[in-house]
Amino acid sequence: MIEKLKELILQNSELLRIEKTAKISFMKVGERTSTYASVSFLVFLNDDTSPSFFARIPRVFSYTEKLTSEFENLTYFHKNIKNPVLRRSIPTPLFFSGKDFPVIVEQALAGTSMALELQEKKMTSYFRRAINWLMSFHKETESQKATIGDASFMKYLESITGLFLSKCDSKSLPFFTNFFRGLFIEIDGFKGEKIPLGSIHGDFNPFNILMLDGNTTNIIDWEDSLEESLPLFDLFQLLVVSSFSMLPEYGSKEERFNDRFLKSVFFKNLAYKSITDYCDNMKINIDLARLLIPIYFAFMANRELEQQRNNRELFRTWAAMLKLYAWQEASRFCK
Amino acid sequence: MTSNLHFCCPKCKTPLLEEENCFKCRVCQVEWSIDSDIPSFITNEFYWNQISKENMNRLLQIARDEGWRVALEKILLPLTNRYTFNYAVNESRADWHFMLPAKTDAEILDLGCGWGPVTIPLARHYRTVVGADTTAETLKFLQIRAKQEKIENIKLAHVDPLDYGNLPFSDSQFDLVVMNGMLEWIGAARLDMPPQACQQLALTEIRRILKPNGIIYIGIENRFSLDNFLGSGSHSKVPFADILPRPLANLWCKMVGKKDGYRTYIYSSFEYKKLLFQCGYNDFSLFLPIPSYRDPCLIIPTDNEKIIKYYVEHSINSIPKKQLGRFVPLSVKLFATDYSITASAAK
Repeated sequence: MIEKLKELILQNSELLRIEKTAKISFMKVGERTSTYASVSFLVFLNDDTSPSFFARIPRVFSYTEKLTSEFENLTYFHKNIKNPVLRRSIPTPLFFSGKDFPVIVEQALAGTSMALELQEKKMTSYFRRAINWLMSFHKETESQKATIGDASFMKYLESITGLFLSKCDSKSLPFFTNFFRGLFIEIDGFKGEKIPLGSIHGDFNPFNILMLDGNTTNIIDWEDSLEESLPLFDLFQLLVVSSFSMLPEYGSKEERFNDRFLKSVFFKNLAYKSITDYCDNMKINIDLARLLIPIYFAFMANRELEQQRNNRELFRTWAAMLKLYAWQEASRFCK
Repeated sequence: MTSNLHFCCPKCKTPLLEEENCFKCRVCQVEWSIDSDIPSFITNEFYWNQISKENMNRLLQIARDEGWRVALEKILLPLTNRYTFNYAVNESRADWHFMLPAKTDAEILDLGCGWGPVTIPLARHYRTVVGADTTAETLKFLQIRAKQEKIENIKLAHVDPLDYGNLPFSDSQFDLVVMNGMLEWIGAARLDMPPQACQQLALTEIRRILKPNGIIYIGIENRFSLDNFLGSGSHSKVPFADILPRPLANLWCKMVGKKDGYRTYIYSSFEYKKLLFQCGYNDFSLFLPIPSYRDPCLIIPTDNEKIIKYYVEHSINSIPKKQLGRFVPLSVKLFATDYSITASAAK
């Protein structure tokens, strides 16, 4: 397989501005993941000490949907983001080879995944930087403000919870149905409040945030980004995924989420501060923002059942986290 | 079974004749049965699995009725742990194949295919994959899994442990033979020969069935890994047994209650190269699978020191970059936990 990838890179040598005789070496990188995710490689040229390109191949060649959307999303954001610093932090797409041997080649990036060093002592400063990046991105890509009570926005939220309920197992269905009914009554209490809508990264988690010398340098993995959604979901994704990805890793995701997101005083304070900073800056009512957290869980769970992923196990993980959240936190947040 | 896979008698290597529901050796006059499309070449019943035979049969029933993944969630997960569940499910376990020079028309043999997390992803990319295992139940599971995943290019074979070097495949058939977590166990099932001799027998037998310049892939532990120096004792579960000279390791294992002594031989990178060379292989390549060959996140080629250096710089931030001389990349290579190895069959 690697010979074909080499051949493809050399065929595109003009576009990539490399010599046709360049010596190419690869290092496979990435997480242990399920079938649908792509496999990534760092591409080293000649005797270079750092990689020149980043190449991604779908683990299953017929699953090109996510790879195609990654390429389209990167191209879209490179074209539309005006802030040069922000644009630099988004990987530059170089080419997408097509369906026979689907590969995306991007400019290689500097930095280390934030997830590798996610320990309590570093988290406050890492979060501040990551959230600063998020706020600039959301400000730049904000398309409109939705109003609570506005039919189309409420319909959007209900479509997320409705889909989640339709996929839920029959044992949990009564609990979640009642919970969401109560939640929407609470949300209705904020009638007239404004909330920004716009682009989201879609998977803004510590694995996809690259840092160099303590600064956020690049944000990778844009395959799940959406042009029009609820930007708050990116913030929630950072908080929730950090809670179960933080070192040390042990037990299941649900256990780590429960211990940290719901029980750890340190993490609760960090989450509270992050949500407050973000909401102040983006002019969002913080109590309203907190009510949207359960909808984020439903949004994430639904995504696991999309075509080509169809991962019921991860759907159940998100549903279990929502249940834990609902039991322990919602009574406080939802009053 | 389609015609491009040719079986031979595991004992005399004469091509087998396919008859109704069996394969027959005209020289030995032995018949090998075919049960639900899986030919069986075993001489002794053998069962190795993470769960008991009774639970495995329950799992197979659920796999047939409700799907293979549900069966693993309902039986394997509660009886074992999440690691074992992921071990059975994660197709990323075969990501090393992207680093190999194999072409899409390759014929592949996956020895010790187990639950199929390596066989299935290989079948998604290459022409034919033969999954061989000593346990009939896991082969049946893999058959169900492949069918439900709509994968039609997997063939299965029930074989004896490789310790006897009796593979039922005709000469020069495969472009790639996979031994992922396999080589170290060869020698454990046969006590009348030293483990290394059993391993040599198996590697030589594999060379026979590889096409000229066909590739063997081995995923295995490093004898001199840092973990072993710290007393982890990989497969023997006896601390320091792997790093001791073999006779001492044998004595040490017997002293701590292992009646068969030390039999799960693993080697250093130099020793693997030597072992493969002795068995007729060349073009030895070594990769570092991190954190483990069982489910690698990173796969680092060792022929480019700068890539190892890059990995060290980016994974261990506390090391000052300017102080990374030659010593660190070399140590990473020598004391790595596991290796992914490829070599070509010299013919």
